[in-house]
Amino acid sequence: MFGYVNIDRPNILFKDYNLYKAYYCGLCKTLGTRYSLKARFSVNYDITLLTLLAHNFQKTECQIAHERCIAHPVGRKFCVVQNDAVQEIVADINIILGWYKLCDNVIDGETKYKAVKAVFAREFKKANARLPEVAEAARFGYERQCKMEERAKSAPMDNEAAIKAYVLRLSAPFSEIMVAAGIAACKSADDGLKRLLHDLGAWVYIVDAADDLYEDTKNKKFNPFNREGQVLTDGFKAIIKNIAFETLSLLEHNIRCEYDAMDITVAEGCLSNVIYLGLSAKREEVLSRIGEEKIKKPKLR
Amino acid sequence: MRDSFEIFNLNKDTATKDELYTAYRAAIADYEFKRFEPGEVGTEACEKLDEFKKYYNDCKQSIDVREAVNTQKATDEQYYKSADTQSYFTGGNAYNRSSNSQSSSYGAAADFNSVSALIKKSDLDSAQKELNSISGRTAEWHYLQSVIYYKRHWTAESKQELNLAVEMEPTNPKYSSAYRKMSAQGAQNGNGSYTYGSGQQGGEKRSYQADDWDNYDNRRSYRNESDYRRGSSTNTACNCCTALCCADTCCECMGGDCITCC
Repeated sequence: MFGYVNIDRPNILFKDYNLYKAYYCGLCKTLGTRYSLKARFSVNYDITLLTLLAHNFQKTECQIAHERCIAHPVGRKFCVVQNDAVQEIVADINIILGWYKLCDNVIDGETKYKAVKAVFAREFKKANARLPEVAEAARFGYERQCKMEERAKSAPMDNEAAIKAYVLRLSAPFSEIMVAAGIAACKSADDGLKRLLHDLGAWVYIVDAADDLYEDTKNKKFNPFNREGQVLTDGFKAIIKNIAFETLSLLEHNIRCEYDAMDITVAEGCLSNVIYLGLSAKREEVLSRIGEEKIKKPKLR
Repeated sequence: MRDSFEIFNLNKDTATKDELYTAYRAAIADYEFKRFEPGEVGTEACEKLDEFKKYYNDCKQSIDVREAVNTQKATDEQYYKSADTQSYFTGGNAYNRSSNSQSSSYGAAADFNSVSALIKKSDLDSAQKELNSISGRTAEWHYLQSVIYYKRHWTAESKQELNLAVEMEPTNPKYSSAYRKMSAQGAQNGNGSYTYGSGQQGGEKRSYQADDWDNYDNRRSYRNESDYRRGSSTNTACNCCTALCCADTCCECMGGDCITCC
């Protein structure tokens, strides 16, 4: 979806990286078999984290095989996690969440996504039939977020504490969507997992807001950190950076505490890397270029 | 351990360290000379020597444990005797170990809880201090001490303390299951139980060994961020010292002497 919840690539052990990719590839294959070829394009690393967590909660060890990749038609085979019940549920969740994100983009005024929606309509119908509760939660969440953003447009930005408070409030609908997805994916979801996903949802929302600050200001779209007519001066950027840093660090700390209390047996390395290192790395990267235009950097090996 | 004592023809319960030592020297006397012979004889002799050393260390450890248990029992007896005669306020002979001996046995349960809470928080120095202040060396004390050693990666000392705990309370399932897990891990490491070197074991920090002694030890991969996301390391002490040694060597090559003592 967004692509902020990822591993810290420079600091991951290769065995964990291989396993992480195997889960990602497994999802791609499951989406292909369960839905269609075009559905495979919606696979992302955020949903990979959900797979890892779900496999943990169901305590299912995956089966790995070497298979070819359609995006790499020539060359060696890659490790791929074989299809199982957990992956199928996560694939359904992925389609649903992707669909509602597209709806959100269209409502925001990006009409090019209407065509994309038309392309994925049939997949969404299937997924909706399989997991109606997740679809309902996502729909309701995005609707609530829309309404809250409408009201927040006129909210004052007086002091830091007030900004922090309402930024967290604005992230609440998205957190709820994450929690609903988690409950559907993990059979025996306990309070710890719900809290972890809630905080993770808030984290993703705030990182996305910080990342899109420049574009939203330019295109005059809503951003929790910015208001109508506000210019991105250096002083303002510094203030926003500080607020974002404090809020995100707090959320990361909470996520870490929740994760520490969990019993992790499956894919411990990948999960630990994402939660202990990956989130901080992403936060640092985003905050270092806050308020600036996004330049696409070449990916590390 | 029973086998080790039988090999030296000693009684497990009454052997002393001196007796053990003489028996050990007698056993290896023959092989010590054969050690330097070439070929089969030499290698066989070396293997036998290693074997005997292992048995000797086993027996010595067992005797240590037995003596520790006996001294503990003796001091406990002394303590309780003096408590009966109401003379523990004066300190007593057996309890010169710590200053707050008065509160130790009554507050013992509370103190152990606070120690284990500190261990869970990974505050090992405070936990050690708190543990040292508790004067009653019970099985629980030794168990907590072994956990602290384990968290510091001093596996040999940790195993010793765990031994003591198990010897004191053989029926306690917590200690015996931890002991089993620890010996299983020791076998996995491949160097038996004689890692007589305290301090950290190299790559262990970064790679996660599936170990479910996790009530007190939550070792996860990538847990310590500072291990991985290091900034520039040009200012560490090691680089500084190495640079000075290199400078000194170059200086001496040219005829001077930067650091005069080496």
